[in-house]
Amino acid sequence: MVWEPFILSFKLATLTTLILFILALPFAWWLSQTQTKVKPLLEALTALPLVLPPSVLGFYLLLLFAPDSWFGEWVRDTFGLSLVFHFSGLVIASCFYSLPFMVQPLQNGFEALKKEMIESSFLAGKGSLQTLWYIALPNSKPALMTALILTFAHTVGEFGIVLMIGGSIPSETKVASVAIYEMVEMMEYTQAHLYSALLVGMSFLVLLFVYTLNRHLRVGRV
Amino acid sequence: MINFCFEQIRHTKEGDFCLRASASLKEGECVALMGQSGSGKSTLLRLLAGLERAKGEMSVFGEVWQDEKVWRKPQARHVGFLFQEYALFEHLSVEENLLFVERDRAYALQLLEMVGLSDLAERNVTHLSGGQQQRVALCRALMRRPKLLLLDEPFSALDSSMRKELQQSLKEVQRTFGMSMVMATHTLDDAYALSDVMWQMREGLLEVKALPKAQRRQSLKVRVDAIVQEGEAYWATVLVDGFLYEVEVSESVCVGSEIEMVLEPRMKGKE
Repeated sequence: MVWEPFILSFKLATLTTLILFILALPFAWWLSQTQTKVKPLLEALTALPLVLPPSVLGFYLLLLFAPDSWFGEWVRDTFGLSLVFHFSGLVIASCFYSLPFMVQPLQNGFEALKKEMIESSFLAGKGSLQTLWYIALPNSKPALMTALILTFAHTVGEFGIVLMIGGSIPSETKVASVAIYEMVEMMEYTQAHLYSALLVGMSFLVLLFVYTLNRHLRVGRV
Repeated sequence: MINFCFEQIRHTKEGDFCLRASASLKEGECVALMGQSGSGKSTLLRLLAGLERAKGEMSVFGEVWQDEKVWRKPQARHVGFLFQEYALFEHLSVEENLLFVERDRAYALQLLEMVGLSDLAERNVTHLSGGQQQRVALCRALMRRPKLLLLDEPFSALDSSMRKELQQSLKEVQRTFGMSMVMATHTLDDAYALSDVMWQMREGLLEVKALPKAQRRQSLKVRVDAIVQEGEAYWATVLVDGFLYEVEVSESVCVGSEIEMVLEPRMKGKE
């Protein structure tokens, strides 16, 4: 049993979740508060990864990350990184792919808060970010837990986009889902069973944890 | 003096709703903002607090809060706002709700003492009754020492005994701090209990009125406790429901005799 693909999967999921939390939190807060006319446009763009086949997103990201594209060139010149077939490329691709799993639960959670509670914070002299951190977030714990855990779990389960951007380089881009695919290709069914059962078990436990915790948090609020 | 003049047109499914409101408010004055549901009472309060925007002007004791160039955000207005449904920060304790506004523990405890909640300072606000929650919300609204206190139907979610308790707390607060207050209500009882002036909203238009004394006038027979002569006038001191009132009487009235007096809503007795 080689654990490296699992470690890589969890490393990728942890980094993606952290980066998305930092970037998506203010974005989801802003979406929940704004009345701008471009809100539906931004919401639709955010939700696109939910409906697009991973191959479509993977294809466009591959073009964007290519060393001869403006973005790929800029990343190489500025950070000395090559994104295609590298772990850093996987992290960025995962951030795009898992974006709705972070933004949507947070936005829904913030929109479900009582408007008067948010306004009370403004009337108390607090700015938008202070209100987000000290009032909105502590009162949206179920939404926050859902966003964090679903993003993590969804990233662990990525396959298509990971394969297109990262390929299958051991210790670099060969995550658990790709490793299973290769084992099946090579008819190593025993190994594939073991890896798959582990992923099923872990995914189930994560979801069970989310739903149990949310139930606990909701009951605690009543 | 607080002066304002607002005009706001809202496009709704039922058609355009136009709110036009212009009035003045003296320092320490308490206004009952009356009107039916949907007449624009809450919107006017929100405009005064800066939670909504409208064309117009507003100045508060010489400071411009709104005109063609200026528009102060709610954060910069130092307005106290009491919402109908309390709007407390549910993850915080009573004391933390107050300290979130200003880190002034002594003042927070003074306010809680005033409304009789100092024993519950550590308790989470979700574990309080409706009346207690509304009193916490009142204290929180006072933490910034507001020049203007706005109350949006503060009693409507409370039963009658809690309503009386909160009315007492509000009277106490008004007596102590003397800030100007505008209280939206659709109950005449609340207006009589707390206010000096009445503003009536009718389909978005504000009319300023004196309180309708006739509806509340009570004719009472009372015993005279003392008489004071001021020039040619004679003032009798009488006790009604624990409050002392001074009533002008004729020269023939003496201490101990019974007189008939008309108790009007705007008459304020001393405890």
